[in-house]
Amino acid sequence: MGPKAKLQQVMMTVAQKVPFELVALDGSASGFTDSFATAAALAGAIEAIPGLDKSRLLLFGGWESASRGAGSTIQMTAERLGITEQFQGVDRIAVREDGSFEVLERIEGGRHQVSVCTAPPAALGWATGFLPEPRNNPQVGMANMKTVMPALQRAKAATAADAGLRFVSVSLPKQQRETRIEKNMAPEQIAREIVAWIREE
Amino acid sequence: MESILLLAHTEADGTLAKPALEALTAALELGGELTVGLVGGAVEPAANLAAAAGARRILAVTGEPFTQPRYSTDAAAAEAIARAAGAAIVLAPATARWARALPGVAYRLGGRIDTHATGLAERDGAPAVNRWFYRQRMEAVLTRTARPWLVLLDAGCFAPWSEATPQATPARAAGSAQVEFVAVEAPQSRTTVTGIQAPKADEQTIRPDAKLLFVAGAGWTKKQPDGAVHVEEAQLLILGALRGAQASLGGSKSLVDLSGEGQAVLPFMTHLNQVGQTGSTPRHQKGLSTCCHGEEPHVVGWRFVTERRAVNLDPNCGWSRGKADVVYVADAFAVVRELNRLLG
Repeated sequence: MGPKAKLQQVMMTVAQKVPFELVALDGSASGFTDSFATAAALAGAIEAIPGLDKSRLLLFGGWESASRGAGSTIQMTAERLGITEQFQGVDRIAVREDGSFEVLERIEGGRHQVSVCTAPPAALGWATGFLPEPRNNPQVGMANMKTVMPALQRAKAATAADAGLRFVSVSLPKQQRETRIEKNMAPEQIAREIVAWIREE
Repeated sequence: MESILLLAHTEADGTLAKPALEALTAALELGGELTVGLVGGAVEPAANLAAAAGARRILAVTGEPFTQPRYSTDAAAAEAIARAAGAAIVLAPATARWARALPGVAYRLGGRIDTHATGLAERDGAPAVNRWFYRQRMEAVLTRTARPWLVLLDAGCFAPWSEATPQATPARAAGSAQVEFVAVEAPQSRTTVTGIQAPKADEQTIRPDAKLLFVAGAGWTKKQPDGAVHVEEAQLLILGALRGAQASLGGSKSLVDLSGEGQAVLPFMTHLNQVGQTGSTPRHQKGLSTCCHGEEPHVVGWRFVTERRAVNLDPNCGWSRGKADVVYVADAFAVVRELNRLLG
């Protein structure tokens, strides 16, 4: 979900990575959208995918975006689809031979919670993970773009606004610090000053 | 002010952790009639504390299934408490557990949710929430008409409540709310929590309660004045500084990405350490950045760090100027070597 032009731009990069089918929604991707409305639009689009077996569905999405960072859209999308096995801040999923899968979720203090889910459906809000990006494959990109462009043209307009949400104010932080630049201090002097600063209450 | 429900999950011993105590302060400052909802294996110590703080009602869901931090059971417990309380405003600390479960609960209740709230105040009889957007680049104050309105409060934004807190008035301190246990049938879950993965205590580089955040940039892995790379020494120096200052470690994206690409650089540095755009924005009193030359650690990662200093070879670094209180133009290897000797 995003403005069509932006989605097309993103697809130019992503389409070269892995084969996929795109279902696009033409709507705002701004930080000031509402996760409740976004989830409604996404769930509606997923429901409309022909032949989708929801009993086997693994729903993946970004955990927290860089724009709003709500961390709440996946949960509400999944709830609308009837998925109640959910994981957030996921760094790893490992599928086992019996079809169950182990999930590592970020929790406080730089730790991971380890869970085992016996079967889908499940929703996973993905964090950074441990894997590198897939390499670009121009052939995959060519094949994807044949279906991506028509999918973008078919993208339905979606709204992600909430009439009951009102922004009283939005402001940029104005604080500019008076920075003291020390160019001629010896490392030992600097270290002493830093130690004194660390020990200050 | 509208009625307020504070949701908290208890620790293994039935007490409340610091983020929950901070949320309790926020709820009391807002001023509405307060119900406290508790979830966990044991709740008595937390219930006694809530009563002392002045909660009118205390609702609880207990039992073995609700001891595990797991979406389905946490959501069921929170939903049942919220329905029993019927409060217009639902506050909760933004712990991993509630951040996972409460958005789904907001949907079930037909309400709305806002996460990462950093401030909360009464405005025309209703709450107004402060929250940052675009990774702490702009701050907004927002209100909503939809109810219930769930708000997850970021840690470190309110003082944790204690019986010595001024708002614990004698009337409130004398509160004697009884615990009402809410019956919830644990939903069938296919998920079992099997454990926690954490670095060994002496290898743990993320310390949320540390006074100092030590940020390492990619410069540590670059060629030094002698033309060679000194990654092993960098590793020893950084770990030594962390030990000596009992600091938490943050990394710039460029340095963390190098680690993720399998290169032999700073093996203790992971994405969990990353501060800034796609990392965290931790709250520490002091921040010391070393070998960083980008926007992310200085602007975004440091948004909630009060006192900031940088060791940087570039006196004109546009990202540290105006963002740090002091910039030392020096070789970080030499400075941290001395630092470790003094802290040693």
